[in-house]
Amino acid sequence: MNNFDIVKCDILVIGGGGAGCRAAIESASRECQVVLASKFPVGQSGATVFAERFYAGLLGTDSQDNPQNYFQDIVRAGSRLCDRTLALRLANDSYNRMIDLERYGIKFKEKEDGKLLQMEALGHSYPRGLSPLGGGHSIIRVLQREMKKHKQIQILEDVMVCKILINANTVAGAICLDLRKWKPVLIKSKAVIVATGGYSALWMHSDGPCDLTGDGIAMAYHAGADLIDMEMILFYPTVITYPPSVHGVLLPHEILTHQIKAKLLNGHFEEFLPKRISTLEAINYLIYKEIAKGSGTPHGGIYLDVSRSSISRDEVRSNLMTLLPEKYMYLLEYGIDIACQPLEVAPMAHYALGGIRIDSECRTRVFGLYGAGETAGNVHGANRLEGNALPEVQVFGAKAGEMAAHWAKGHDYMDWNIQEVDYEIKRMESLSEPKRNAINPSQLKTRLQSIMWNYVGPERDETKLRLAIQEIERMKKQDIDRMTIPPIRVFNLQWVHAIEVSQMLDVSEMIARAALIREETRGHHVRKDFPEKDDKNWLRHTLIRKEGGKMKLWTEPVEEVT
Amino acid sequence: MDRTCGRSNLDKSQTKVEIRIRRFNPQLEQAPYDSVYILNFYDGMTLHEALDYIYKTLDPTIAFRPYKCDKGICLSCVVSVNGNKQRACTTFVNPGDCLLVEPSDDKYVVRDLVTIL
Repeated sequence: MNNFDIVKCDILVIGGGGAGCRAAIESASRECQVVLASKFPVGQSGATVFAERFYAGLLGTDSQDNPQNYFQDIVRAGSRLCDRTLALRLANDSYNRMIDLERYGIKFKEKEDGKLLQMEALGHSYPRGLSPLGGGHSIIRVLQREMKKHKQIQILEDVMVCKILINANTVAGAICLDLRKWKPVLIKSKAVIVATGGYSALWMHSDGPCDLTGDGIAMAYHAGADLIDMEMILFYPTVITYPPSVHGVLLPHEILTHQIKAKLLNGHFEEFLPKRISTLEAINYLIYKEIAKGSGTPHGGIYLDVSRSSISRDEVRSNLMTLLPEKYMYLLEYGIDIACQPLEVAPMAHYALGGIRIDSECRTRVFGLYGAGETAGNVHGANRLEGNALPEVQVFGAKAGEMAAHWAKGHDYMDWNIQEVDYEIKRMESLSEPKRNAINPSQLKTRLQSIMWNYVGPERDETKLRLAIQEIERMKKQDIDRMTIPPIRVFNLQWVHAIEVSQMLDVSEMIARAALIREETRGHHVRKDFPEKDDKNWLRHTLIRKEGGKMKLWTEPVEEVT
Repeated sequence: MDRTCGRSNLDKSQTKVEIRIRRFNPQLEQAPYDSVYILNFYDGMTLHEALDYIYKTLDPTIAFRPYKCDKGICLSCVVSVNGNKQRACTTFVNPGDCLLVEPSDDKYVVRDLVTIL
């Protein structure tokens, strides 16, 4: 079969979020030909657009404002589970990548004396919260503008990468689907950077974008890369559950409870949280328990009530306009004024801590394959500090771009296996063939999301996890082959969802299996049957690799650095 | 081109809404046509939710952009509603409404409501 286009480049970057764009810029500035493929358009996909407030940065303002303290904070907040070499990379490079962003045109909020404003951010022992004006959306915009300056970057939007091609444990290229033309596109490249974001969209309740389905993680797994700490997903405590139009909209609880003095109340409008709670995961779990015991609101949440704030309504409104202008205005468009009405909120899947195992130079165990951003784990451990996602994508995006460029310069193209390509394209084509007992991929997706929420959610136990694995295995055996999509070639969303579902099932199985072997409670991984943190046995990473076509799991001790 | 939904058979007091989607695949078809969907109204329903519901349960062949940034700034879901360009995520649907939903820009249609920027 020859019904496909071939695009040749040095480096393929998968994903058009903060990490992917930054990686493309870095590789291109090192004279490499880059193709950036994004499932949907850049700026209208991924999670960077969602980023709210902070870029955690070091300025060296005083002796306490140093990388070592920052590193210690990351280790502590993540319950000592982070990969130390990655946390060090983040702490050491955050400043330089912030300077890059300023060079690209990002402005950070300043004090009256013209110096950058450093704000308190949750979990940090030093005020490291730098505030990029316009948030994550303006970061994407400036990265987009910067990419345009490099002729070596070709951006393919509405192009979904479906499979990474490997030969002798080395990258040969990738098979993609061009949604606009519906045509398979083969990309021949020496290196691939996976920057597809996390996997929060696997859960029914998530505050992230719908396209974060873990595609890149599944592709890297099938390509032979190791995955690390997949069971670790950060649940954010205060995400709107009702009305449906704003379901999944995150309300930053620390701004609202600290600066605006909002109250967190149960369904009977009673306070139920202790005065001082230090960590995100503690707040999360207490809210989850309150809802689980039946003291929640009508739509399964608790109330976040700004109207009972001790400060005056005018002051509340002006604070909202300075601290959360976009979100406040956005909710007003729905007729929701946070200042005067209680909102129903609950914990939802927010950020994937686990992911592709990389070293501090973003390499995986497959030659020419790199990971960056939320796709890569485990930079943070069992919880992430506020403001650490934006520097993460910039630091590791740039590093992956640099390392991939080195690799591409020193190596030649690998051939791919044409039978493998034919097989994969036939598999994609066969989705539109009529089948008995056909299932629509959206139904399958919804079903999987509800399994993940109910059995692999904020509170897990052996019974639930085994049920999840059983059901996922059944879906893989019985449902996947029945998926049928309409025979439309151009922009057929069902095609995207069908390919996503197969990958989501793989990733979900990994998460459930890893969660089952981690017999302890650490950070956001809560086991009802193992409620304590177990440093004696479980200061260990869970790892996953595809071996002989099967999912192999093992653990390794967390290594301290000296 | 007709930019309104025309006379609706729906009574204002009814709990239904009519969404008329302008369909077009420029690579295959000569001219656009409309598909009409009748949905049960619920309080607070937005056009983005209505499109998502149509796609997931009534007609998986419609092409639209499902991405939503939860801030109203990405403009991914901008469509033309009864002739006015607006974001589907912040467009409210009222009971008895009859909305003609078209792509935001006729010149760059990929298919149905999906356009190239």
